[in-house]
Amino acid sequence: MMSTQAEIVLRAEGLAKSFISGTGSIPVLRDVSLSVRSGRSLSIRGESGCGKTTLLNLLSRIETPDAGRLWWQERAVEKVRASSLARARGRLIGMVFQSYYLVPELDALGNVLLAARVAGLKADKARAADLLEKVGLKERMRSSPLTLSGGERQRVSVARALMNHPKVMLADEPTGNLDEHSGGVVMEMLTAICAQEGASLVLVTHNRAFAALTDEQFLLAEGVLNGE
Amino acid sequence: MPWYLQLAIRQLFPAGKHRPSFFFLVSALGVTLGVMILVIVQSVMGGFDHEHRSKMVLTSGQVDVRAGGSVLHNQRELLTIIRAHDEVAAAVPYAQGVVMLTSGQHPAFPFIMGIDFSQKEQVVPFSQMLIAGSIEAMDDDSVLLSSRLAEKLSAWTGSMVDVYTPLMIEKLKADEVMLPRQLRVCGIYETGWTPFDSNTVVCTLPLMQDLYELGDGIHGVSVRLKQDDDEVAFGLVTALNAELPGRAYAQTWMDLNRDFLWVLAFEKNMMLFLLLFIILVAAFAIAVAQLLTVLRKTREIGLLEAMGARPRHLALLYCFQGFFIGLIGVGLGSVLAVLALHYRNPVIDFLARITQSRAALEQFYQFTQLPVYYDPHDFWFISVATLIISTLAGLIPALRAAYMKPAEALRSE
Repeated sequence: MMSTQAEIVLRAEGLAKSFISGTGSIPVLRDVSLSVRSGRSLSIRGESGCGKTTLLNLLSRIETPDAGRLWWQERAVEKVRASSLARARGRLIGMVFQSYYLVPELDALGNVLLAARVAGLKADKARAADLLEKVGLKERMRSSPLTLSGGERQRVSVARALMNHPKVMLADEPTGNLDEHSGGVVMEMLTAICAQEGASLVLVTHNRAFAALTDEQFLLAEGVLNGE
Repeated sequence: MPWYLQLAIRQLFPAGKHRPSFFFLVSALGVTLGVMILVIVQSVMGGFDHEHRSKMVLTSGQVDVRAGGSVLHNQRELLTIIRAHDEVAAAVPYAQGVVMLTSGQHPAFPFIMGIDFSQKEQVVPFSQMLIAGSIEAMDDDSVLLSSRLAEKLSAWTGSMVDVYTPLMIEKLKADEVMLPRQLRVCGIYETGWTPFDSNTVVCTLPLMQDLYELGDGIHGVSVRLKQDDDEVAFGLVTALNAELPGRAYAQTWMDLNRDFLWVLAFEKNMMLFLLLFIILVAAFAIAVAQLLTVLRKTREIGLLEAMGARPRHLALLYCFQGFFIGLIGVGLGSVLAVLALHYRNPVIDFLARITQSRAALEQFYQFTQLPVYYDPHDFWFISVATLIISTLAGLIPALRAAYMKPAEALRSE
C-alpha cells in the first residue's frame, strides 16, 4: 500500500464543480476521482463543454472545486497557504494550453526561461536551449512567437511546461489548434519528452488516436469520469 | 533583473519592428508636457525671484544695522564692531528720510538716502549704476536721482532741484521763513530694481545730516559681505546682535523684505500646486492606458498566474510600467523645458516684434529678457512628485491584474 501511494504524484477525490448561469447552477463535474502515478500517462476524452478543461483547472488548482479534495505529492492542497500555492504549482506542474499563450514580447528562449523565473527558480539557459532543441526549435530560439507557426508555438509551450522539471504535465487539447500532421508531431514530442524527463502526463484530447498513446484512457461524460 | 521588471520594459518597448502602443505614447506625451510646463514655469518664476533677490541685495547690502528709526550717535563704535568680523567686505553709515523735491513746476516726494561716500569700500556700487553724470562730481550740494524720478521731474545732470524737508515745514508752522535747499543733479542712476529706481534720491551723509539736523547721527549701517551667502548673513546677524550696544540691532536683507519675499514664495508655490494638476490629468491617461493593457493581456496574466506568479509580482509588473512612463516624462519633459528656456529670448523677441509690444514689455514689466533660474530643489520636487503620481496611476490596473482569478483570466475572450 505504501509503495503504491508513494508513486502517486497527483490525486483527486470527489471533485465537483458547477457554474452559475442565468438559468441557475449548471453542474459540470460530479464526484470525480483520479490518481496520477509517477512517470505514467493518462488521457481524458469527452464532448466539447463536458468539463475536461475545468477538470484540468481543478487539478492544477487554478480553479477551486465546490467539493472534493486534492493532493499534490501526498500533500493536501487545501492545507497549502494561498501565498505558497502559486509557487508550488509552478514547480510541480507543467501546463500546455490549446492556445499556447506565449508572451509575444519575449522570444522563444525567453518564453521557456520565463517559467523558471516566474516560479522563483534559476533561469538555466542551457536547459531551456536543450528543451528547445528537443522540440526541434534550436534554430528558432531567438524568434518572436509572432513569427512562429502554430505547431512551432505549441512546441515552445511544451518546452516551457517542462522547464521546471515538473512531476506532472497537464496538457489541455494541445493539438486542438493544429492540423493533423503538426498535431501528430507535437503529440509524439510531448509523450517522448515526458517519458525522457520522467514527468507524468494528463492529456485532454478529442482525438482517439492521440489518447491511445497514453497508458490509461478515461472518458468524461455528464460530469463523471469513467475508465475506457 | 526580476521577470516582472523585464516584462514591464518589454511590454513598453517591444523589441524588433514592433512599436510601443499608441496609449503608452499618449500617456508618456501627457506626462512629458506636464513636466515641461512645470519646469518652465518654476524656472521662470525662480528667475524673477532670483532677480528680485539680487536687486534687493544690490541696493541694500546683505545686513542692515539700525535702531528702529532712532538716531544712532555712536557711528565709530558701531563700525568698529561690524568691521571686526572677517566676513564683512564693506560697512557704510547712512541716514534716510522723505523730502519734497521740485524742479520747475514738477514736484515729487521721494525717499532720500544720505550715504557716507568717503568710505573706501561702498555697499551699493552707484558708480556702476550711473546712466549719466559721475560720482566724482558729487559733493554736499548735489544729489543723484533715480532714473524714473529724473524723468518725472524732467531733470537731468546739471539741473537744479529744490529740496524741502519735514523740518522746514515744522519751521513754517512757527511762522519762520522757509527757504528750500537748492541742489545740483550730478548723476542719474538705474539699478534695475523698480521700487528703488522709481522714487529715490541719493546724497552725501553730511548733506542728509544737515537736512534732517542729525548732527553726527545716523539711522543705520549697511553691510556688504565678502561672500553672498544667506547662511553667512544669518550667522553675522546672530553674532552682531550679541555685541551691538544700546538699541542697535542687525537684520538680514531677508528680514527687511520678509513680506515681499513671502509673496514671491507664495506665488511660486501656488503656481506649482496648480500646475501639478496637469500631471494628475496625465496620470489619468496612464491609468486608462494601463487598464487597457491589462484588459488586452488578461489571458497572459492568467498564464503567468498559472505558472506560479505571485499577485504582488503581477501588481509590480504594471506599477513599474506607470513608473517608467513617469520616468520617460520626467526625462523628456526636462530636456524639452531646458531647450525651450534656452531659446526663450528669441521667442519673446519674435512675439514682441509681431505684436509690436516691445515698448509695453519694457514699460509695464521692466524686462525684455526673461530671467531664468534653475533651482535643483524645484527639479527634484517635480521629478519625485511626477514619479509618485505616475506609479500610483499604474496601481489601479496593477491591482486589477493582481486579483484576477487565473482560470477566469484564461477563459476570457
